[in-house]
Parts: sequence; C-alpha cells; structure tokens
Amino acid sequence: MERPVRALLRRIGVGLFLALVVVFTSFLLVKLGAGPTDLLLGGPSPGVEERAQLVQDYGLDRPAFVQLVRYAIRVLGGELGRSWLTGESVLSELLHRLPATLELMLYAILLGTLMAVPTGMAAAFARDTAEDRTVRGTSVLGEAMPPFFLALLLLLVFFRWLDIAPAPSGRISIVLSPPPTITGSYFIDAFLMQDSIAARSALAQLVLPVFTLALMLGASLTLLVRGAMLAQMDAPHFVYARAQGMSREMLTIIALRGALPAIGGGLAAQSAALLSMTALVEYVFAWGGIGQYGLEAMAKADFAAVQGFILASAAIAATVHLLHAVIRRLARIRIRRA
Amino acid sequence: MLLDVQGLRVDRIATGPQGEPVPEPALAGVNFCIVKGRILGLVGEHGAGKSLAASAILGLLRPSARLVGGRALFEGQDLLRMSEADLTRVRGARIGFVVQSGHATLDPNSRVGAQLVRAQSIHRPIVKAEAAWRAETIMSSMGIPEPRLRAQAWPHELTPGIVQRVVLGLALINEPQLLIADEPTAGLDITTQVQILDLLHLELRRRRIGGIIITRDLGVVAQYCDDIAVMYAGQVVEQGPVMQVFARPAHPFTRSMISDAPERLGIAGRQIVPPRMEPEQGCSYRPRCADATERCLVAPPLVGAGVHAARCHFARIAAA
Amino acid sequence: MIGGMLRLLRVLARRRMGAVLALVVLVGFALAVLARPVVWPHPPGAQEAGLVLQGPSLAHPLGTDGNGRDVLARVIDGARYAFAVPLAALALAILLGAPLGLAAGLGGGWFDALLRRVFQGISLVPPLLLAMALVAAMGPSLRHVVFAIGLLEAIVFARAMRDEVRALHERGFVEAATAAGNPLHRLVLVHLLPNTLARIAGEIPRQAAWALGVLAAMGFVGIATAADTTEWGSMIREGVEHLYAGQWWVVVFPGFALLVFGTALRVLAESIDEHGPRRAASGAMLAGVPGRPAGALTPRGAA
Ligand SMILES: Nc1ncnc2c1ncn2[C@@H]1O[C@H](COP(=O)(O)OP(=O)(O)O)[C@@H](O)[C@H]1O
Ligand code: SF4
Ligand SMILES: [Mg+2]
Repeated sequence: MERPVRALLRRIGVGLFLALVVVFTSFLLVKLGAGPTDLLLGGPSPGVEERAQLVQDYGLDRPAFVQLVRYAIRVLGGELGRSWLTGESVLSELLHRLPATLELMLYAILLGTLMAVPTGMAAAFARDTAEDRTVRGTSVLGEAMPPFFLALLLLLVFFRWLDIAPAPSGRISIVLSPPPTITGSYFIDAFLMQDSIAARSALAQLVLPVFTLALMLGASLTLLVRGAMLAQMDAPHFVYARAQGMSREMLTIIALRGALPAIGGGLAAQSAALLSMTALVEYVFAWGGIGQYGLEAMAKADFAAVQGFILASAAIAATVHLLHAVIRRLARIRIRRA
Repeated sequence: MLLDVQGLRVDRIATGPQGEPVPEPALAGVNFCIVKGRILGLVGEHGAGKSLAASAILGLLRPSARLVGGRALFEGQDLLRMSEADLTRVRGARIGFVVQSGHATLDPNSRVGAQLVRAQSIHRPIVKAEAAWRAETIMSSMGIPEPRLRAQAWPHELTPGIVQRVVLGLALINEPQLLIADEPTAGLDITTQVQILDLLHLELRRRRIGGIIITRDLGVVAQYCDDIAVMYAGQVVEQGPVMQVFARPAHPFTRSMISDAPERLGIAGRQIVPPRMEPEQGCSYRPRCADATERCLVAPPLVGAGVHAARCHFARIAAA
Repeated sequence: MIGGMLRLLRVLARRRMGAVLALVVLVGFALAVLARPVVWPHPPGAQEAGLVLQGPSLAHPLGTDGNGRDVLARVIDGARYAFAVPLAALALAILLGAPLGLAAGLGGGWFDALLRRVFQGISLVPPLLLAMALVAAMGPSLRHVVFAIGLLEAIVFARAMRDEVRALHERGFVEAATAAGNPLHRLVLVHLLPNTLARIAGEIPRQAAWALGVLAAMGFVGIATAADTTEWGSMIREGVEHLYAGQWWVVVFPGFALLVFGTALRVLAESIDEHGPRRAASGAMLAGVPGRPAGALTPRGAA
C-alpha cells in the first residue's frame, strides 16, 4: 500500500480507538454509579413501562460486555438517550445549546489571546526584571483563581455595586424574547435582524462571562507565550539575527513567528481546561449552554444527560485537536532538523 | 589596527551552593589585535572562552555573563561602550559574525533568499529586485550551484555544507571590514570543512578584510591564518605571527599544544575543562605546566618583543 | 533528609521569596486549623439566631452567614478539606500511577503503546468535568471525591513516571545496572526509583492545586458532600444568593481562602520547576554514579 494511505488508515484507526476509550469511560460512569443503571438513566422513580424500555434499549438484562457493545453502537449511531428530567432527547438538547457555549468560548479565546500575546512578549523581552516578575506573578494568581469565584467577584463589583452589568440571567434580558435562530448567537442574530435593543442586551449579557473566561485563559496563555518567546530568543538563529544587526521590531517578528507553533499547540492543549472553565462560568451566569446543562444534570442525577455532556465535551476537544493538526499542516510548519 | 581588544574582562554569573549568584571570572583580561587585511586564528581548548570573547565584543552576552572591563577598539571606537543602537549599526554591517553551531543559525521560518535580502535591508534602504540579484550573486560566489533555485529553499531543505555557505554569504553581503567566524566548520565532514575554509580564506583575501577564525584545530591556523592568538582559561597566553609562533612557541601551553595537537584541543570529543582561575594562585596554567617554578605563584606579565608576546615568566621570545 | 529539607529551605529563601511566602501561608492555614478550637470562641457550626448575615465586625471579623454562623470559624475549618482531600487524592494517585508508569517505561512495547492511547482517550474528556461526573454518579461523599480525583491524577503520575524511566532507559542506565548483575527488584528500588523521585515530588504541589480546584468546583455545584459543610466551594454555593443581595462577605472570604491556598501551591510548583531538583528527562540528575542522584539539589547553573 502507498505510504500516505497507510498513514491515513493508521490515523483513522487511532481515532476510532480513542473514540472507543471515551465511550467506554462514559459507559463506566453509570456502571460505577450508586444504584441500578436503569434508575441512574431513568430517574429515581421511572414508570414500569419506561423501565422495561430502558432495560431493552440498553440490554440491561444481558452481561456487562454486551451492554457495553450495545451502548457503543448506540452512541456511535448518535443515540444518546433521553433526559428523565426534561423528557427530551439528549442529543437534540445538546445541539440546541451548543451555539451558546461555542460563542462564549470563541470570544474568550479571541480576547484572551489579544491580552496574552502582547503581555507575554513584553515579559519575555524584559526577562527577569520587575516587570517580568509582575506579569508572572499575576499569571500564577490567575491560574489559581477558581473560575466561578472570579465570575462572582466581577458580578459583585459590576452588577451589585456599580450596577453597570446586567443580572446573570442568561444570554438576553429576561424581558426580551430571543431573536430567531440564524447562527445561534443571540448577538449576531439580533444584529442581522436589525433588532438593536435585543442586540445590545445580548452584548451586555456577554461582557462579564467572556471577560471572566478571557482573564482565566489569558493567565495561562501569557506564561505560555512568554516561555515560547524565551525559547526562541535562546535559539542560535535568534542570536545570529542580533549579530546581523536587526532592529527590535525585526527581532520581535522573528521570535514571534518561531513561537507561533508552540503558542498554537498550547492553545489547543488548553481546550480541555477552557471547556471546564466555560462550564463553571455558564453555571454562574445561567448561560444555557451545554456546560450549564451538564453541571445541572450532575447535580440532579440525570445521567443520560451527564453521559451525553461528557461525550460532547470529548467531541469538542477532539475537534479542536483535529483543527489544530489541520492548521499545522496547512501552515506548512516545517519539522526542524535536530 | 582594525580591532584592538585590551584587557577584556567578563564574569559568568554562577549559582553558589546556597543558591546565591556568584560572579566567577570567565575572561580575565583578554588581549589581541587584528590588522586590516590579515587573518587571526584564535585557538584554545573547549571552554577557554573563545566564543565568550567574540560575543562580548559584539555586545551579545547572555544574561548569565556580565562585562566587567576592558576595551575593544574597532577603527578607534570602543565597541564595549557603544550604545545598543550604535552597536546595531556595526553588527552585520561593519563586522560580520558567523556564530558557532553553524546550521542552526539560519531563521528556520524564512526562505534562504529572503534572509539574504533581509540582511541587506537591515542596514540600508534597498530595491527589492537589486537586493535579490545581489543575494543570488553572493550565493554563486559562495559556490552554491543553481542559486536562483536555492534561494527559494527553506533552511532545513539544504545540506549542512550549503547552509554554511549561506551563512558565510550572509556575513559578507554587507561588505564588512571584519569577519568573525566562530568554529565555522564544526560538525561538517572533512571534505566540506576544507571547501568551506578554502572559500572563507579566498573571500577574506579577495575583499582585503580582516578576519578572526576561531578554531580548536592548529592545522587550520597553520594553513589559513597570518597571526595566532592562543587562549587558555580566559586569557590570551600567546599572540604572534603564525610562522614565528609555530617555529618558536614561547608559552609552555602553546608548546604542548603543538606537540600533541589533536587530542589536546578536544577535537576527539574530549572536553578539558580548564581549572577555575584563582588569581592568588598566580599563573593559571601552573597546575598543568611542566616548567612551573616558585615564581609562577605570582601572576606572569605579558612578555614580548614587537608583535610576538606571551604570558609566562619564562617566555622565550626571539627578537624579530 | 532533614538536612536536605533545611538546605532546600535555605535555597528557597535566597532565591525565591515567593516559595518561602507560600510555605508560610500553608503552615499558617495548618496552625489556624489547629488553634481555632482553643482560641476562637465561635464554633463553625454554632448558629446565633439574632446574628444572621451580619457584616464584618470586631466580634465576627469576617461577618456571619445566612444561618448566623461565624464566617471566620467556617473559613478556617474549611482548610481541613483543602489539606485532606488533595493529600489523600495524591497518595492514591501516586500509588496507582507510579507502578503503572514504571511498568510501561520498563516494559515498553505494546503495553506502553496501549496505555498511552488509553490515557490519550480519557484525556479527551476535560478531567475536571470527568471527575465531577464520576462523583455525581457515585454519590456525594468525600471518599468518592478522593477516588475520582486520585484516579484522574494517577494518569499524570503514570505519564511522568513512564517518561522518567524511559529517559533513564535511553541513557543506557538500565543496561548498565542490569549488566552489573542487579536483579529486577534491586534495579527498580535502588537504581530507578530514587532517580525518578525528583520528578514525582515536583508534580505534587501542582496536582494538589488542581485537586483543590476540583474539590471547590464540586462543592460549588453541590455534588461533593451531603450539604452544609465548611468546604470552601460549598460555602460559596450557599452564599451566592446573599452575594447578589449585597452580603458579599459570605462568598468573598471563602473565595479568597481558595485563591490564597491555591496560589501558594502554584507558587511552590513554579519555584520547584525553576530551582528544584532536575529531572532525569533533562539529564542533569545522571551526573553521578548510576543509582545515586547527584545530590538532592542541583542548583541552577551547576548543570
Ligand atoms: N554569549 C555568551 N553569553 C554568556 N555566556 C557565554 C556566551 N558564550 C559562551 N559563554 C560561556 O562562557 C564559558 C566559556 O565557553 P566558550 O566561550 O563557549 O568556550 P569556547 O568557545 O572557547 O569553547 C562557558 O561557560 C559558556 O557557557
Ligand atoms: S608562568 Fe610558570 S606556570 Fe605559567 S606558563 Fe610560565 S612557566 Fe608555566
Ligand atoms: Mg565556542
């Protein structure tokens, strides 16, 4: 077989294996749970018929291995079961809520990167000075900050005390009705519908959660950028660039371009952490994304929903990794010789 | 006098047993000079401070080292006291530098031709087409076949020999008055080494510019250099014209180096870390010196007549 | 051992005020926990009916909560969880992870490859969320919290251990020791483990900080413990409605406790990264004779 084909097959094989591991983890979740599986999935007091249906759907009367295979087949076929709390299909609820989460994450990544890159670069150029130490100290503080506490602090200041931020009541003021769904982002949809009141409200609701996440993400990203820049600045080619008499601007460009792959990789590696932070921040702001859905399902023991949320999180993380791999390929990041 | 280095002193900031920073002398008064149009070979064991001296002269010390004193007069101006902005105008324009660890010195994220164009743009306004033409010209005069094609290559696509030719081209493209090449052939195979050195020698002669070739190979000095400066443990212990020094080495270290050249210089991968310099101990070579006597407990002065000088109480210098 | 600790402290004192400060903070929390029952008149559970949601005052420096309980006493009491849960989880994680990593590193081959992929797969699920889901499934109990966190942190330690052992292997370390006639148990106990210790120990503060954050998140969402404990996350959960009503102290003080405790751990982790014992993977530990780490501490610059 040709080499690219084999490499592709290998990748697909690994991907499938990883998917199976994730599915198995999710399966294990209810198996480790306290109580019979049908009660975990069907709620504390399902009707006799519902219970029988669950037993049949999941093969709960069969050996555990058969259950696992059934579960895997169901999940890979997109069947995530029903939430006993809402009676809705978990998949459709997740899909419905996904845009809210993605919107939050996307803005947070943009704003966080915008804050972290210049700060991290400045710290790297000022290595070991008071300025550098201040940046690093602040970043460590940010990494130790529980996201929900930062969200609450910002709410205390801007909502309760200064009264310039809206209440943490979701994605749009409760007296307004959401715009019709086009992209799923209330702000963009309202903007497209030229509904300026709704757009303004959606934007106002976005500010604090996005800022919370951007600060959290920015803290670790700053350290990452600083480290990647320092690695570049210690590299022989950077010393050589200085020996050629390059100006500071040119040196910055060279170091930043060299650091880009490391920064991109770090950002991709942060995606799991970002997803966790987003869930907690959504929970505080009643955001109505999949994060809030998942955490509330945990608190209320709605395990079909919990499983769906876990699978969805893994899917998002996997998508980010895949995207990162594709971008690397497209950017023709060249493997350096040792 | 193109470059006159006098009493160059640099400390390395090491970490003491308690974690406190401890400055240790790494260059303890380095003296050497280069005359326009001549080539100086700077030799010494691994870790003697050759690279450190070159970096210090160009203001390229890392934070782990600190300049303590001395002068480096380049065409009358002291490089060590120049502002960073002025130094930037010297580096790459008037002094070309080939840093050690050759192949890793090219920017991995730019095409070779673009780097040659950029090197010109650093120091003067350029016309793109002309700069590209000059880039190709210098590539072909560096003996790179098919320069137009190669200009489009990324550094990692080239062989080490070609990379080193590009690095030489980069150092020469702004027509400097002085070229410092720090172990320009380290890591290359023997045939390529000879080709690169022949090329370097030829270009230095043709352009009538001064050169410093830093090496651990006395053979290189004998074949390509006019003058030699021998470094030991952060000091130049002997300097003079190659013919004269090789014929009548004045310092015991130079003598031992010439008598058992390759191994001593760590070419076979052996690393001889020089003993820490303790000024109160007198001559830093004393622990290894076969000729040491009581007098050597006192630091020896620079003994010399004319162009040939050595740092030894018993330096035997014949009047030139 | 004690001499080494003292030396470590002295190094930290010279080089890193931050690390010393961090240790002082942690010791301070521990002392406060021990001293509270003796010196502080208000027990964390005592409700005073007339004193609901009082702001900070001399009698109650951090105010009182919605049930008229002293917030200071509760914040101090909460430190017990901050010490106990991460420590227990770490113990479990190292006990589970280290042998697994050792086996993978020494054995290599398909076992190593399989383990790597399994870990990679599990890590696709954000670990905080997975830990929370596990605890939600098993039911609220600190034992479950420890189990879930320990399980996920075991992956970190297994990976670290595996990399260290591999690095030692790469350097011909295992061959040398085996050639010298060491049986397997001696190879592991005398030659390998001491050389991986630095890396494992270096991970501890960072993983403790992570565990603290997970515990607090579980408390905040209300799945960690039955209800109404002094765990800082749950205190914040209970206080949220009061925060929106303006009684900020119920939330802000436990939150600050979390922040300060977590920062102390992370500062410690940072300074270990920078000044602590070098890792085998980076080579410097092998300066000495095989089997003997080159000093408990290799100062920066000596390597
Ligand atoms: N640019 C530099 N900045 C700081 N320290 C340096 C620099 N170059 C070399 N050193 C240090 O100076 C010491 C002498 O080494 P070096 O000058 O590289 O020896 P040589 O080139 O003679 O083999 C080493 O400890 C090395 O780490
Ligand atoms: S001064 Fe003494 S020790 Fe030093 S090189 Fe001369 S003879 Fe040897
Ligand atoms: Mg050198």
